[in-house]
Amino acid sequence: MSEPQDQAKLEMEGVLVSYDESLILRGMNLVVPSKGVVALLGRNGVGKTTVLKTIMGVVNVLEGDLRFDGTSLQKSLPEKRSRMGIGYVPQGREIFPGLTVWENLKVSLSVHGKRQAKERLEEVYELFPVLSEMKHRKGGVLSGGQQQQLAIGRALLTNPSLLLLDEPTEGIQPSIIDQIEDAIQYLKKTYAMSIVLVEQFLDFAKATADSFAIMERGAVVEKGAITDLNDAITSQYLSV
Amino acid sequence: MGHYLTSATQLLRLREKCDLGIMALIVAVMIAMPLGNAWFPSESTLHVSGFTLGVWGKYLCYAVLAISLNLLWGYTGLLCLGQCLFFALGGYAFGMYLMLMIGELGSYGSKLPDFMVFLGYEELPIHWRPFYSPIVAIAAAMLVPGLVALIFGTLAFRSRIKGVYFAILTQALTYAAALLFFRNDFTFGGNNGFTDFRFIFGADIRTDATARWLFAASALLLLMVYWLVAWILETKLGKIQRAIRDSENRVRFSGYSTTHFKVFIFVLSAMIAGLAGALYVPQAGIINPSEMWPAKGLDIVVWVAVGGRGTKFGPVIGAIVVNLLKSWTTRAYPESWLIILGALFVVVVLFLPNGLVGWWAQMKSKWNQRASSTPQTDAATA
Amino acid sequence: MNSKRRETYLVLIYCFVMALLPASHGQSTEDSQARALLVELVLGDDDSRASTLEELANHGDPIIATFVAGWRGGQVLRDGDDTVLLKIGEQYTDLLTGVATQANPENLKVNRPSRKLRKTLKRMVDLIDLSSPDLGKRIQSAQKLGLSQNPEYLPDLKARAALQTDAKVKRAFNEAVWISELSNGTEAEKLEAIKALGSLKSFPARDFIERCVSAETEPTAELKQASQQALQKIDSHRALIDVIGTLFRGLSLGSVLLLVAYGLAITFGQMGVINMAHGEFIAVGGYTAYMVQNWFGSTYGEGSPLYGYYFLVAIPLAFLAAAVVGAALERGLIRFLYTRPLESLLATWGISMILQQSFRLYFGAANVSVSSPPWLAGSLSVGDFSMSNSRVALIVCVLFVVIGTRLLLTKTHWGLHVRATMQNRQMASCLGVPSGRVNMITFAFGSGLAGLAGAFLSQIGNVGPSMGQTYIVDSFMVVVVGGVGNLLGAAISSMGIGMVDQGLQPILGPVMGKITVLLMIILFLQVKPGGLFPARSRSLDD
Repeated sequence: MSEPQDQAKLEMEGVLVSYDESLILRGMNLVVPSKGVVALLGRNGVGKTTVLKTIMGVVNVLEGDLRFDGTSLQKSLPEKRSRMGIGYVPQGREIFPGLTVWENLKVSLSVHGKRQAKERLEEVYELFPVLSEMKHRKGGVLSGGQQQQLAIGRALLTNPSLLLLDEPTEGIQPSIIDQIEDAIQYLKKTYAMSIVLVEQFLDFAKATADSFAIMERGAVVEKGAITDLNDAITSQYLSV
Repeated sequence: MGHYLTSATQLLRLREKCDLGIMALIVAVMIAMPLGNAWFPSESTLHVSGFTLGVWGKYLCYAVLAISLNLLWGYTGLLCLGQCLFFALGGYAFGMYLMLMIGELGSYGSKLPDFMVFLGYEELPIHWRPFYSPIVAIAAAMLVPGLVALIFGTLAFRSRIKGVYFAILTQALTYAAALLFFRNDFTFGGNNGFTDFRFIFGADIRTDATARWLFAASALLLLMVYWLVAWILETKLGKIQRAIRDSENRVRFSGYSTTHFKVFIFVLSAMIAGLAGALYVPQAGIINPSEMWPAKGLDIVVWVAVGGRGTKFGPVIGAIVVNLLKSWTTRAYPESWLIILGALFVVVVLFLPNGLVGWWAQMKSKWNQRASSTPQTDAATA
Repeated sequence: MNSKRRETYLVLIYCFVMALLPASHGQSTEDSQARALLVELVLGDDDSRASTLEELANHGDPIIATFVAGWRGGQVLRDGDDTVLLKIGEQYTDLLTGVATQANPENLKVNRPSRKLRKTLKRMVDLIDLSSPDLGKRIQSAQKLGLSQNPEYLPDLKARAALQTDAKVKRAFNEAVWISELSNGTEAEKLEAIKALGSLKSFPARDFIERCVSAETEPTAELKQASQQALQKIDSHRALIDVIGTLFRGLSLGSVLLLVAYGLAITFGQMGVINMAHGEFIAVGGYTAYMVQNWFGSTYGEGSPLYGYYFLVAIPLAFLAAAVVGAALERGLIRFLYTRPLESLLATWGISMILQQSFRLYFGAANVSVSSPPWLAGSLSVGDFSMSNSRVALIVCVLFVVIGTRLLLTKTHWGLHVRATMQNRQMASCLGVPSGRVNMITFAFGSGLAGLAGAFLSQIGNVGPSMGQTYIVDSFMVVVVGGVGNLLGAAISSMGIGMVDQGLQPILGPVMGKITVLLMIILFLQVKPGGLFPARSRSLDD
């Protein structure tokens, strides 16, 4: 990577993670700079989602180091990491289907303080106007795209300094993909926010990311600035 | 990463090995106990009293009962809180035969069982009549539980009731049955159930000789059921069974009708429990509706959990260990035995999720690991 | 937390109102008049006595009955010319003033009524309650005399019926008159009486009407027809009252079920924990009520008016005690088992055994007695239908519990966190919801509700080491039928199960009724395996 690495947001070093008795991450190394978007790429089943889950604390690290802002995350619960400033938009959105859109957002607001709550909410509504329009609908009745916007909005309301996005474009209509892209650009511009983006949709990743890391069999095999992502690499690691 | 894989297979192999060893030991004890009763005079230290034989005979029946639940819960993932119902139904069926064998020796001197005389029956109710035949009684001890399981299982599994729902419903089922059997006009002795048996297959039920062959029969049943279950696990059925436990939908999408498999296993398990109950009653000398009270159903679950759910030998160990402990604590600490047992379950659930058998295997593999050289573990971090 | 407090206040206010209701008793002031007349009676001659008696008949003071009994028993003594003493036990009292006095036995002369007077007096005593200042007594006496169909009393009943001002009393007097007339009246009077009793829908009159038109009396066709109509009216009224009774009993049983199951619906439904020790939390509540009662008894004495209010203190304490035990259980055990629901069942079964045995060791194996405070012991009647206060209080309490819980879940941050956690535990945690604390409070709240249930059950059932076991199967049924995770479903299903149970009981008897209900539930789950309101969000069964 070309940028200086003194102020890394997140560092993963030699991380091992297993489900049951099989290893998913086998010596995963990743450095997320304090600003900018890292696109985490790779074929299905190479462990990209697991990387995000590990950062969030949903799965446990078996061995290796995981540091956020220089402090070890090793044993802290997801709720603690959320309060430390990690926001998570999981694969499949995972919004609360039985709560209204407003209540979904309120979950984040209720935990992360009243400070500037109104402004933050306004900002989210501005990025995703549909959330304001459908305030009182149950989360479960929203379309996939609307749910995705809700999931991102919900994560933003936790005041993250590191945002984890797991395939935000999966199964979503193009117009909403554009909105999400705009949102990411806005966040990059307005806030000093780091974003880890797991993405299959290469064009989206190229349009939004600053750097990339390609995974295979539970480890990073190739990394660099997004501009370095050439056809040779894509065909070697990403084509099916 | 090597040792994660090796430890798993080691664990499995160890389990098999210790299974075999303990198995041989148990078989030896099973043979030795009745012999100790028959051969050694009562003053010898090696003598096994008829009473002890009876108690252990009961434990063996409990072990069979535990295996039947393990077949359902351990290998198919269906937690049945009403296994006691099938056990009691089997017991009642054979108890009917034993009641009729009392003949005119009852306290009223009537051919009818005492409780019927007491309730003013003039003649034997029609459904009692075939039970003069022990063959009918044994068949009924299997078929009645089987039929109940067939009906209930078909209803439950067809509408895809499973997990916690299934557990609670089976509990309600046994609760309803217990209420029914508590009624005097249900012709099964109400509150008191059946007791004061005299003869079994023409022999006096109270002699040591009878105790010996009842024990032997229980031991034989245990062995046969153990092997039957072990054999089922090796067949395709057993594989489907475990696949259902681990991910039922995947099995269903692969084109199998999981409902039929589950009903089959449920019926089989109920029939085994019924047989265990049939052998239990002559050794316990009594059967009453408290045997199907929901608490009894939970007891059986506890045996299996303590021994090791989903292990072949765990249920046997669990049934025997818990009941030994129970009989010891009720004598030694009559005030607090429930507290001791309760604490045991909590400890087992928290610290021994795979029961005693799992714990044993774990200890074994840990010990082996420490003994073996370390390079294997180093490879994992590389 | 605000609405929780509001709920508690409302319960307290309600209970105070209930307590104050029966506190208004009328105190008699005509006591002295009656006493004066009695003295006159003793001192007077036969002529004056007749008029005195007549006047006395209009008084219903209890002293009259005491006096008459004493007079006949030789306990009325004249001390000199104008003082009359009444001897009760060894104590003399001045009849005129009612004040205890000392007297020299040598100066006293026993005074007894004449034979003729005695007969009149007996009648007077029989009728005395008809003028009792206590309206309840007056009604009872009228009913008794009416049902006796003794022609002697008929004129008196009739005369007094006209004088009654209270509607209830008047109704009872008229009823008595008409019932008496069924046997003693003329044909025309009988006809009138039958019609009147019919429109009164009088239950006690039913048999008398039937007897009145039975074959031996050779009734006229008109009488027969009237009686048929009257009986029909009475019977349909009886049917109505029976239906209301069944509904009320169903509602009441449903409330019990709801109260015991609501806590379970929260711990099992919202958190996915199968708490087999839930029944023991009920017992914790029951024993808390028992201990509070004992404390009030030893501190204020059982006779003290404060003692009656022990229950108001017991309710919040029962909630608290069970909540604390619940919180401890959650922290110490259950939080390790959230991912293993079937194992939480086993562990809590162990806890259940431990708790049950601890109760036995501490409180003894036998049931302990928890007395009902007077304001819960009575009953409330509306028309021909009466319901016990404790049941009414239970229903009202359940209402508060349901509304209070709903408010808590929808209006508080805690409620939002509970619902979010219930729908997706992991995601809630990822958003920073302090899942540990939420779980603990939720579990404590559910357990507290069980404790509350226990306190109420102490008023209508037994408190003993295994009291919770009685309810555990039913509670699980309620939750499963309602749809796991749905509190509204639990409320509807408990009411439904209560109604069906009570509806079946008169037909099938209690045991068969219960069995039928259980079988119906099993069949119901065939049609709707997810219960009334199946949970869509999270599947408990994987």
